[in-house]
Amino acid sequence: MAEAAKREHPLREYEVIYILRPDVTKETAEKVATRVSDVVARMNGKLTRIENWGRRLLAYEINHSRRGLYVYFTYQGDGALVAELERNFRMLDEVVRFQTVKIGEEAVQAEIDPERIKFEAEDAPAEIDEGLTLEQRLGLVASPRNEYHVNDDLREEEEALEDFS
Amino acid sequence: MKPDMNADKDPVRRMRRRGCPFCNDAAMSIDYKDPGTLKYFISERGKMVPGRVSGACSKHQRELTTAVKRARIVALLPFTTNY
Repeated sequence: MAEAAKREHPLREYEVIYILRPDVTKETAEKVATRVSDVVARMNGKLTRIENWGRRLLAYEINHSRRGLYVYFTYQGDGALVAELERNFRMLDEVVRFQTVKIGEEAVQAEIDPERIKFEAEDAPAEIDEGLTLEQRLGLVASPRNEYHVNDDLREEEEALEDFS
Repeated sequence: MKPDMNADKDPVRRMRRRGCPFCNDAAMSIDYKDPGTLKYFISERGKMVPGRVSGACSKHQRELTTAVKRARIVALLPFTTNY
C-alpha cells in the first residue's frame, strides 16, 4: 500500500528562487533558465511561472558580492524532479544560492499563459557598483544608501515591556 | 503594618495588548518573498522579535519564524548585522 503510493510520485507545486552571480551575462542567465526548463520538461514536470527579479541588493555578502540576480519560478513536479533540479543548481557555478519551497500538496490543473513562462534576461550588468536599480530609485526596495531601520513602535513597546517587568 | 515602600513610585504601566496583526487584517499575509512586511518582525540586529512584543498570535508567530528563516537563506533578510 505504502509502496504503491510512493511509486505513484504525486505531482506537487513548488516554487524556487535562485540567485546568480551579479556579473553574469545575458546569455549565461538565459542558459541557466533553459537548463531549468529542460530538466523540468525531461522529468515530466510543468513550469507554471518564471519571473526575473533582476539584480538586487543582498542582505549579506555571498561570494564577496553584495548583489545577485534573482530568478523566481514555480513548477509542478514530483520529488525526483526537485532532487534533479537541485543537483543541476549545484553543478552550475553561476548559481550562488537556491531554495525550493513546496507551495501546494496537489498540482492544480490550470491554464498556463505562455508569456508567464518565458524567461527575459535583462541587459546591462554594467551598473553594478554604479548605484541604485530602478526599484531602489522608486523606493520599492530598501536602498543600500539608507541605513536599515526597524519599526520605532516596536522599540517603544520593548522598552515599555522592560519597565513593566 | 509595614509602610508601602512603593508608595512614591509610578503605578505600574500596563501594556494594552493589541490583537494579532495577521488575524485582524486579512490584507496582511506572511510571505518569505516579502521582506518589506517581515522587517517589522525582526530587530535592528536582525533577530526575530518575540511574540509577546510583536503581538502576533502563536500560529502566526510560528509562520513568521519560518518565513524569516526562508528569507534569510535567499539573502532577502540578514542573519545578523554584525559585520
